Amino acid sequence: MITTITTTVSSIASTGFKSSIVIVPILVLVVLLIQKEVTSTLNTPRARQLSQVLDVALLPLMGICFVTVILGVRSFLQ
Amino acid sequence: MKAIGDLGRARLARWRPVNARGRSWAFLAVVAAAEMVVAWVNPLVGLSLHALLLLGWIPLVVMEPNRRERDLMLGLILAPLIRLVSLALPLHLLSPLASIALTAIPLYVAAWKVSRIVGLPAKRLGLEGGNRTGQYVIGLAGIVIGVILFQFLAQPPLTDTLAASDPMTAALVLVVFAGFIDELIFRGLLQSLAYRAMGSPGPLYVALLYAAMQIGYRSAAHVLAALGLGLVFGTIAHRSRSIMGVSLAHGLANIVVYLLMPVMQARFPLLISDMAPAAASWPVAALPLVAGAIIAMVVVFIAGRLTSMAPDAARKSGP
Repeated sequence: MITTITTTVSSIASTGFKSSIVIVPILVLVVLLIQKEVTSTLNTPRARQLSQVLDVALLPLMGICFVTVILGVRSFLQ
Repeated sequence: MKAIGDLGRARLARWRPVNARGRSWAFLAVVAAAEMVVAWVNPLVGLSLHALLLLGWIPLVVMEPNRRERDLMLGLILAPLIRLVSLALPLHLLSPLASIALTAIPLYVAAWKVSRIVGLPAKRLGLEGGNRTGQYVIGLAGIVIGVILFQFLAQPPLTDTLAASDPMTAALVLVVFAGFIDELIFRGLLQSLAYRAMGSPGPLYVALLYAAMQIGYRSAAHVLAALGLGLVFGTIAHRSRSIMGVSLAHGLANIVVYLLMPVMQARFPLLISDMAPAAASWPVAALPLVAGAIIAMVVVFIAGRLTSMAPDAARKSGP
């Protein structure tokens, strides 16, 4: 069936880009965190709005990074 | 002189190279291009395009003065985010079921955050309301959709792995973390926002975006099927004011394609292979499609009738 989640995952799984491709979301997370830090120092309505919008992308990416770290540690310990 | 300067600054503040609607269509084009690059050229470059789109889009959201357009632009962040999140996981350390579930959970969080910012309550997302009988009827149509899709589309690469896992767990994951999240994001959230911002072209826009996100299957039939299903599901969700029926249909279709039909194919190879498009002649192969289209039309008709029986107050408060 059609699911946006499995689409590219299944395509990518057949290629050799598994490890290098993870760098992109991590870089995005770093940029978003810097933006969040900068906006937190400003006290304007637009900065508050930007901070809220950044959360939309930050929360899932941080969750994924957390899971990735846990899986990496588990894999290392095994 | 100062007045002229103020006027110039005001004009500069209002100046936009493209209006909000143009930007949304350009966004769709970039998403489609990025998906094509991921699928056919280089996944790393394609994912970088998604990342640049996300990072460039966020300031545009904040700068947009029109509330409805801004809300839609905020919702559109979810499209590149889906791809970034789905590829950020270390796939080699996870089973396919775990990767689907772990991808969907952060997306639920993102969808919840967007719905809170734009102020869409559960009812406007289609999580409440709607005629329950009608929703079940729509949901059961997913079985027919699944059979048709299995016959006409190439089997997705995950089919073998999913068929080998525990059927109950796999079914639960396919319904909750694959079917429902798609419907919540595309039919519940984005369609409501697109309809508010664009009017009647809104559902078409969301269906096109949904189809663009399927380019990774590297199959024109898949993209066309996604577009068709996106339009049908979008119409049903819009008319019935609920995504529960289409979510159930999506989940059941997933179960049929990934779990039920591979088992049926293994047990009754003659029956299934006789129906397969490669073995069948065009008229025979077209029969399930025609039957499916008729069933879909009947379902839409019944859903429309059941919606028309719903109280007027409930309909007026819908999206």
